Amino acid sequence: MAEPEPPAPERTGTPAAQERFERSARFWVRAYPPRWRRLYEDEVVTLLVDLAQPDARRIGAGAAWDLLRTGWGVRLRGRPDPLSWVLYRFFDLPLRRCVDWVADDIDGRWYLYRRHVPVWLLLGGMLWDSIDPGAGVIPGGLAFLGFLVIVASGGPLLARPTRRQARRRHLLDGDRPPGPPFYGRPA
Amino acid sequence: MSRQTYLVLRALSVRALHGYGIVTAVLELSGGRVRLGAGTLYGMLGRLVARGLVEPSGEEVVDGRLRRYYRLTPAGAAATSAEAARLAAAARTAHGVRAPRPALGEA
Repeated sequence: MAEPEPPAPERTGTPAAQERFERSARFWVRAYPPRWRRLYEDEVVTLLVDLAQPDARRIGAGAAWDLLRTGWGVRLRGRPDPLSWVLYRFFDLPLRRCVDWVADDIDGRWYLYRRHVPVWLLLGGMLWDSIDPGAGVIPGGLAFLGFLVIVASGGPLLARPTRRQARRRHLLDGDRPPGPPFYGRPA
Repeated sequence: MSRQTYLVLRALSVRALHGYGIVTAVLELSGGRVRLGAGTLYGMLGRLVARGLVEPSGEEVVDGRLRRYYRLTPAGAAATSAEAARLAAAARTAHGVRAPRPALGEA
């Protein structure tokens, strides 16, 4: 273990104020992508607490801006380029250079709907094509609309196996995704 | 290498430090001119860990709060030395440049 360092300043606020400060800090840390937060969030909150005024109830504007700026910077740098995104989203090709982004994508909310973007586009195009400007939506169009509703409502049920398949395909089913560790892996 | 990155590496070249230790060490090394924010520091640490220049060296929980210590790797120490040498060479060059002489005919 490292040598002892000068202690951080002691906080004097009430427990409620401290809790409020921590909530405020965690809110702003959400600017970072989920996988990054799993690695560093607790440390960042500790540092924000150390750097804050002893009786602060929320983080200051400067610290909030710093988190927003760097958090969105991390998000943007971790994203695939547009061509790779199209190949991944539309043709399910693995993205070995952006594995952290892929892991966040697969574990994130609404994955099933994002995963099936090409299907949505195709169905949307067919529905649009089936609309007769004079007579409104013809029965074929209504059938597609019904199909869309059924698929959308069944999404949560289908998401689990789809996620499992995606992890197997894109992350080789490992605890850690393969490829370069974009966010760094301290543990 | 940015000035902030160099200062972080310099701070870690002395001993392993946690976040608050790095911020105070950088403040001291820069004569109070560079005050790192939490976002800036951890963005930088993430990149340095990913590049293999810095590594975690242990962690502890103090008052329910996680403190993770970071230290330089051999590659990080080499990069710090190389940057220090580059800065020293640049400073020598700057000091070696003479003030421009007045052109002929000027007073």
